[in-house]
Amino acid sequence: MKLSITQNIMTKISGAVSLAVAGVLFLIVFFIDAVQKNLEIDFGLIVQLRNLFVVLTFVGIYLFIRTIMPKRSVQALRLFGIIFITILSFLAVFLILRLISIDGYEAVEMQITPTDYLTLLFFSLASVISGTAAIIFLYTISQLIFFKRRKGTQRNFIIFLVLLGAASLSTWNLQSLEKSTLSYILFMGAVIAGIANSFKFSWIVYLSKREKMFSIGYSLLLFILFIIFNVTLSENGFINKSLLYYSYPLQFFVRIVAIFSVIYFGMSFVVSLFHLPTAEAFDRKRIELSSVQNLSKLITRVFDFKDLVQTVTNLTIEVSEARSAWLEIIRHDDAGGGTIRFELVAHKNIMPAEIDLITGDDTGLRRYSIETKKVVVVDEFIRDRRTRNIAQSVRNIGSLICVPLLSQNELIGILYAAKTIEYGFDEEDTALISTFADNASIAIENSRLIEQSIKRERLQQELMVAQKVQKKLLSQTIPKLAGFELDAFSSPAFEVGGDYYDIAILGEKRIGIVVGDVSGKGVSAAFYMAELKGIFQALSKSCTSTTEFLIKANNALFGSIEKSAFISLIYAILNIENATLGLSRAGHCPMIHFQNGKVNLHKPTGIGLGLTGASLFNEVIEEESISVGPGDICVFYTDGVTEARNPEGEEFGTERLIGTIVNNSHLNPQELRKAILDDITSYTGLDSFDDDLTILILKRNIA
Amino acid sequence: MTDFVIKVRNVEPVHVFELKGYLDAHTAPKLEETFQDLIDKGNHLIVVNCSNLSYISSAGLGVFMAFVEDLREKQGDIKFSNMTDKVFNVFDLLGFPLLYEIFKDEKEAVEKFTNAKNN
Repeated sequence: MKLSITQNIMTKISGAVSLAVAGVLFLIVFFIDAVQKNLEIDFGLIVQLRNLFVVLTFVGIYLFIRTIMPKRSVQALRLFGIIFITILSFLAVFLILRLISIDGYEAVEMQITPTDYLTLLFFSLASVISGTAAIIFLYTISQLIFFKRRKGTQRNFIIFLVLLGAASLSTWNLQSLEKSTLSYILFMGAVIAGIANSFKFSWIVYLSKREKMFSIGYSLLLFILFIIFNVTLSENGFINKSLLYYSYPLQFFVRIVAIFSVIYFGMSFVVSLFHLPTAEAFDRKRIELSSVQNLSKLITRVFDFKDLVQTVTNLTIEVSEARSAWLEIIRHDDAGGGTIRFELVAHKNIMPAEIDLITGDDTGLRRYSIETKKVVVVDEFIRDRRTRNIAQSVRNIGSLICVPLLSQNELIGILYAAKTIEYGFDEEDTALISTFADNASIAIENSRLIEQSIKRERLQQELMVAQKVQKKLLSQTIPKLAGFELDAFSSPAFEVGGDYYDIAILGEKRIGIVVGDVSGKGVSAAFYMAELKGIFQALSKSCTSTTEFLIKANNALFGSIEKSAFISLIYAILNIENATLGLSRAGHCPMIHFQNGKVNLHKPTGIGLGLTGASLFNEVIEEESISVGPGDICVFYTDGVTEARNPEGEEFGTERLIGTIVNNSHLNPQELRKAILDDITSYTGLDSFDDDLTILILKRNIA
Repeated sequence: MTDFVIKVRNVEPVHVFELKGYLDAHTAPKLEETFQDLIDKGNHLIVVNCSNLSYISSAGLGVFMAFVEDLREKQGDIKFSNMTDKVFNVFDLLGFPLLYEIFKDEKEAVEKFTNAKNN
């Protein structure tokens, strides 16, 4: 902001200086003229100097006008207003001068000379006023012509200006009433070039219907006024005489501009008229194009992020007629504590390497977008302070626009478009792209949300399937045994877990009972748990002892599972006939044996499965034989039971578990299990268990 | 619950890990990283001082299993010291005392390494 204010002041100062210089030059010229009138001698070099001063006077006026005119005027009707006021003022001045009929001059030898000071003053003033008016007309019309300029526009206009200048300057040494064939050929050339430039009416196309009506009225009015202007410049008119006296080049300049203006506004009238019937349709089309159509194009694509961002990029080119466009999306690095990173997700007609140069961090463009969240338009890519450093390495860009994509006022990305010409993005384009970017932001944000929820949904569904599968692996019908009762319960911490229990009928009188715990939790544990199930089902029936099974299971697992993974397992074979239990343990929690009001913890030596190779594992593994009396209870469990914590962080522990068993030893296994779970939940204060937890209870009937 | 701190001390030529807090599935990656870092720098003699370790889960034990084989191949080892009864119980259940040397005191563990080196 500060910069633009100082810039403003600077232009104002330079404008004032230009005007002051022009004023001083005018006075000098007037002084020379006054002296020359009295002395009637050939000044020679001074005359040349005087003529140069006249030209410089108008250069000064031009520089001043440039500073007071709107910089990037896009409203054609405002330009019309400026021309309208200028020509009306001019004609009013002319009328006043006509009323004070001036005839203090004589024509001597091809030279008009004023005979009194008043006439000299009027001549001078009339000349400066008409010259100034002509400059204003030319400047303003050039703005109209440059609206939506194409490649050739500027070139054509410069040809016209060159011819205009050449024609004017070719009269430099002519006497006021002399004629020159060369000058007239150049005069005609300039007029033809003017006509050639009078076909640029891009501004009309973008007017609304109402504005087009205004344009027709204005054009017609201006056309008529400029005809009057031309009449006032006619051969014998006062103005023409003044100009011829004051400066022949100026007279040429004013007349060519006058003719050019008539032609331009005549054409403008006709073109506006022709555009009127289609105005309404065009209006509607424009709205359609910028909103409904593009929006619907976007909405259908929210299910495919890649497709969506490419469409956004392509449509940006379409709506703004840009040469290239690209789109950067902000990615939040979760790990990096809120740092953001831009990812180029789509680009068209430009290389990613070039984009890197343009939006890399050393240019202010991206930073500016992040800070202000406003649209940035770079009109002159080569000269703009934000881009001039990189202009040498990036070709084919004249102007550039960066539009921040906002979702709930949060920057989610930046959309860029570039054109080869300078001043390629006018207010119309900017508004169009901004509207479009708003829609794009919504679509992109929706697409992201959809993508996320689909992923989550899919994951959730997969887990539900896994949970179902795992339940099938665990919950089987508990076999009915003569003289014994069995109950088993397992609850995973998450959807799936690493706990395992199984009961296998090994023979007529032999039952295999296994409880295991895979290291870790969740999905990876569940995989090994499934593998364990396979191993148990495959090997248990062929093994005569509990150690034999554990050795085989360890052989199967060691080296085939991850180094960091292992399984603890306790395996018992119940002989129903003689009520004995063969028990082996591979790193698992001990079995609790309740007998005659007393409790024994059975913990035969054994290393967890998958921890070590056969040599050590086989060497240390033990088997115990336990006789199970009437009313005896055997409890198998996983560490989820003993490691359940209360709010203070203390573990439930083996002692409490034993206490619960002793206190409830009269219950059947199912009731006892419920009692244990109740004790755990009342201890932890939670409804569920936050670790995988398994309890298997075997009880021998009393009778 | 997730409070877990690792301090590494250099007691030439041994590196002593002082573990503090809860070593479970959430905090295990931290320990894993420390191990990997040390091994990458060519250190193979490690003593884990467990005096302030309040809890260790199966995932925590898995970290030692993941590295010990590698270390032993390079003539190194992991030895444990200063375990509380509770933590020792977990080690003991799984049969870890059969797989690792566990010492009452850190000094003993370090000396075991240095003696072995001198012999």
